[in-house]
Amino acid sequence: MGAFLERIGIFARSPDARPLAEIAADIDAELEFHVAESAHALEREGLEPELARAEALKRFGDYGRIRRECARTQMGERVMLQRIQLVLTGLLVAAVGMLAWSYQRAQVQARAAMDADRQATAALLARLEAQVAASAFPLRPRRPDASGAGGVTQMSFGSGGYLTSDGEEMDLASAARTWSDEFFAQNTAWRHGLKVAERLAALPGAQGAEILAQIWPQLSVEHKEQVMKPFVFDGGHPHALEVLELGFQDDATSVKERAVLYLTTYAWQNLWRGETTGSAWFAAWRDRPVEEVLRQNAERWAGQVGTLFVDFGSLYQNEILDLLPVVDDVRVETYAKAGVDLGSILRAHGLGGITAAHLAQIGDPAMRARAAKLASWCPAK
Amino acid sequence: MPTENVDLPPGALELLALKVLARGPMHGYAIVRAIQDQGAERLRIEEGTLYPALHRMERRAWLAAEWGASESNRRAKFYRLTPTGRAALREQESAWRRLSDAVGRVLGSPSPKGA
Repeated sequence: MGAFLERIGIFARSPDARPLAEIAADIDAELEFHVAESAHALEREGLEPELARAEALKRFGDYGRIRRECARTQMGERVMLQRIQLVLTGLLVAAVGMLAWSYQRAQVQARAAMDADRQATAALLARLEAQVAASAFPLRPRRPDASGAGGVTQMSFGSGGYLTSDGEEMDLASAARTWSDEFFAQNTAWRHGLKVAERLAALPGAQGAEILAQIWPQLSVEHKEQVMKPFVFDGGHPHALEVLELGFQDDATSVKERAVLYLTTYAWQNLWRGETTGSAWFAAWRDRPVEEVLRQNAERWAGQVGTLFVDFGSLYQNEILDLLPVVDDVRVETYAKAGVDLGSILRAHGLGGITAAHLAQIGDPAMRARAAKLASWCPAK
Repeated sequence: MPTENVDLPPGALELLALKVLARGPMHGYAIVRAIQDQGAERLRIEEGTLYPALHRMERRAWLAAEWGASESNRRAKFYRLTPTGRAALREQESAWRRLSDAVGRVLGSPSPKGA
């Protein structure tokens, strides 16, 4: 047991803390003292000093080997401990370095992720702002408040404010779901669709048109044929063109036909001549106020017809034959409700003052009926 | 009677040094002289080998050492037994004697028949 404890150093002294050079010098001094004392003894026995030292060294043994053994005994442990300490220090430095590197890398990655998030958010905000700026109706009128003051309030995204079919305020998507459910309650009944659309068109500002745009793909053809009416018949609805564009671009022919029919009142032409014509017309007019659309399109048509309308004989000119049929489909009530004086526009282009005598000169009944209708819109003053 | 020198077996030099130091503190040269004066002149001792043994025993705390002045007034390293070293001396001395007796009994016994 004692030997074991000794081996593991329980009884051993702690390593000599002095500098290694000092320990080595002590070993040299100790060994040199022995050789010198031995040489002196030999000299006293009669040997010459040189011979005495040589004999002393001979008796001493391998001086270099013994010196190394002494040094190893005295310093070996300490050198070993120093090496262990050096290795441990190196490992510690490496570990700390790794930790620092990992920490810094994590920081850089976290910073990069935050920057990316910030950039994505900024890009999203910029896109949303651009969409708001490009919107035809950035200002959404809110319902009048309890005091009846009402007013126009800038709506922010996600703030709610869209009326559901039950009259509650929600965000656009949520409100749209309630209206979609309302339509689906009687999916193929066109009268039901028309009634729901009338309520939708009565919503304040652009809400009806926005909600309709959201749910349009889910509506049945029967409902699509009906839902445009409340928006376009009243004429004064500020977002009539947006609803008409939904119908015009629909895949169902019956829906597109109705849109083209209703559009005649606004465009004073048949837009069923191809997508390009219709698309070009919407591109030119969709962002303009409805009153301006009505007025300027009517003026353009009246100007074309008025130039050709020299006398009643000219009603048989080919150009006029092409232009006059739109009279069949124009709803003059729309102009009255939009506050546009159609009679003045027509008269200004020489189309006023058509009398019964004039009409009697037109042989073709269909053309006579159209001329009569036109005359009724701009009676002579 | 032949006077041929013999080599010391391993560990014997440490035991001899401990035994000599039991008389009092000494430097290495004095320890060697004391061993040889004690009648071990026929032992072939390479004098320098004493020093690694002294240093090992110092590390084991069997010996304590300090520098002092020798009889010739030179600087010398003096060793003395510690209590641990004294206990070690007793243990090693006892072990040596048991070993020596055992070896002696074997060597002193008559040869087997036919050998």
